[in-house]
Amino acid sequence: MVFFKLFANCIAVKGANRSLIVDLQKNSSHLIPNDMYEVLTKSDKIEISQLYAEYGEDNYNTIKDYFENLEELEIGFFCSENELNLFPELNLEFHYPFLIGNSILEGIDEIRVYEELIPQLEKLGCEYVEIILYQEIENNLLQSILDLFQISSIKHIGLIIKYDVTKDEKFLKKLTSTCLRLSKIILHSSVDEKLLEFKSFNLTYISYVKKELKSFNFCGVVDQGYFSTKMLHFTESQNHNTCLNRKISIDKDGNIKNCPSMKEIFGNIKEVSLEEVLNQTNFKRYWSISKNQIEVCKDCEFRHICTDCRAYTENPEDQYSKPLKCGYNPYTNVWEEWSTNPLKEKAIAFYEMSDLIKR
Amino acid sequence: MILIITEEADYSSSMVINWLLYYRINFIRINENDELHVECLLNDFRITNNSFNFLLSEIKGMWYRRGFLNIKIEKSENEIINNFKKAEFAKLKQYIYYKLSLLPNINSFTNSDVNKLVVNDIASEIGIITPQEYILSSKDELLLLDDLSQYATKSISGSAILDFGNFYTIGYTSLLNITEEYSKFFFPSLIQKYIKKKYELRIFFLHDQFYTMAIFSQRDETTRVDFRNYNRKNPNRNVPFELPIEIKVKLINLMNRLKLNSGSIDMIVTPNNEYVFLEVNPIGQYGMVSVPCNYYLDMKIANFFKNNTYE
Repeated sequence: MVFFKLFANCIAVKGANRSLIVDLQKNSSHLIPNDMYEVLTKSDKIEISQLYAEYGEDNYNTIKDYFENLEELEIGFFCSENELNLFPELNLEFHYPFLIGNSILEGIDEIRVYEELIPQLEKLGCEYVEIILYQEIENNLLQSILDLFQISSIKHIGLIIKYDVTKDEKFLKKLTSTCLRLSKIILHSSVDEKLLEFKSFNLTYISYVKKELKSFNFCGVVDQGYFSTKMLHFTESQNHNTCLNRKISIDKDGNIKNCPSMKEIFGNIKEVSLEEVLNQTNFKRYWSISKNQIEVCKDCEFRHICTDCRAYTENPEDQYSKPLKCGYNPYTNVWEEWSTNPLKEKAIAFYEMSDLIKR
Repeated sequence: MILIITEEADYSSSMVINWLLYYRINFIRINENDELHVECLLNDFRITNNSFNFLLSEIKGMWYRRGFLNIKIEKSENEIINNFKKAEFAKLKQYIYYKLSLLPNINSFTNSDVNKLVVNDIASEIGIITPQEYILSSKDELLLLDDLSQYATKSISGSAILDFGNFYTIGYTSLLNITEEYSKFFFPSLIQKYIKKKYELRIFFLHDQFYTMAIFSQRDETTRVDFRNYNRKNPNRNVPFELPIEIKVKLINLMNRLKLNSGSIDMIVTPNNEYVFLEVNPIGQYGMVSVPCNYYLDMKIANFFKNNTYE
């Protein structure tokens, strides 16, 4: 008696038109037809010769080829009946030992505010802080801000800052060697586009981009480049929002929000603590909106490796609407430029994003 | 308050601490390189260091992860007196470990130094299949074995990392290749018969629960004898595995005999579906089992203290 089983950390996700096997151990993914998805749901229950018989002679070669390819790719394996019970499914639980995982500090260039916020973020366990500044910032001030993180429990810092001539490699070298927590630096409004060799900057990913950022409306793009086949992402996406879950953001006026692009304000740091805001049930409203609940996404084979955006959606009135900046259609399996899609014109106008549109 | 005895570089300790912080459980982490001073009080001990200070009676649970309590003794001029002081202190330390072992705990210092040879004898007694193995020190005896190329040698003590200062060596398991140059007598060596494997098992055992991972390493020539010869381009497939109940019963029996309530157990499943026991390591790394199988072992360790200690 021979059966065919996918390895437990290779999980097939069914889409409207095709399916995706996500390899959570080797961090890769493989597309398969939905018919094969169906075969795989049976192949660990029905003996293989019986399975072939069920699908008839016409399909025999195709199914056999798929099994052999999946075995060759080490995505699945042939096993005996008594082995079936020895290989349980992977539990898809997601647990996280921090109240807040990441935070975005938008447009804040006052030392005093950082001094106030860092201990509060530490208390919530925050692992990652992203600082975004649309305006220019003086190098000494930037250095002083980063120095404040030196004895904190915040593990990683990302910087999105405006380029000026003093932001040269020499300065960045100094910055990345005094602040080892820096995981990325993006310099917007640069003269040219380039990526620096991260090995020379203490493993900090540094890129110069020409585009000038004036607001957070550049964010929320859904694209294959942002896909993640990591266990943590895949499991989190089962019941949580992969963008907003355990995120908090504070803007230059001290307003506390889910993310800089979200309209709703839950308080101001001058009046309430971040912890108090977390205790408002409304603040966590979006945290549990998973892809399984979002229109269109719920039919997409990429839904558990994809990112999400609740700030910019196709229908701004509907919190379960598809992310505006996704150009993928799971019913046709075609990727298109989202910004030129005529069906999205209304939403683009609503969010005043015409400056982002590609022509 | 929970006491964690560990080493500075131990990543798992930090991961468990994340959970303890999340649960708001107080803890003290002592690394092997933390120099400790012991003050003896009427009915208690005060243990101090530059960064902490606590009474032994405040400790309500203990995780012996690895390392030891690095308690300093004031030295005397006289070597004979010094030796006596050391002997006295050794007993005192033993007593502190004993007091800690009475608390809800995950392992204890006293039971953590297992002897592979003794463990294998006990495992066989219990009826667990163990590899055919010998300790030999002469070529003549070695040549009495049939089909020598089917044997491998391993260190008896487990770890075989030698630091020579400007370079270091790591011992791997490899099959024997007897040549003319072999000397007549050699250092006592553990010789073990190679076991064909369908898959290898890494088992994390915690208070009678088994978290098992199967490694499909046989397909890969580089990891056939020792999976630590990692193939980084195409790593072995690691998946959750459910041990048969009769194997679990025997392993619980073995761990009880060794007075271990936690440890990493290595086994091999042969093509004939025999479960061969290789070794148990009470202070072994478990992260490589936890992550691919999504077992959240760090959280489970913290949960033990959450559920079993009361302030």
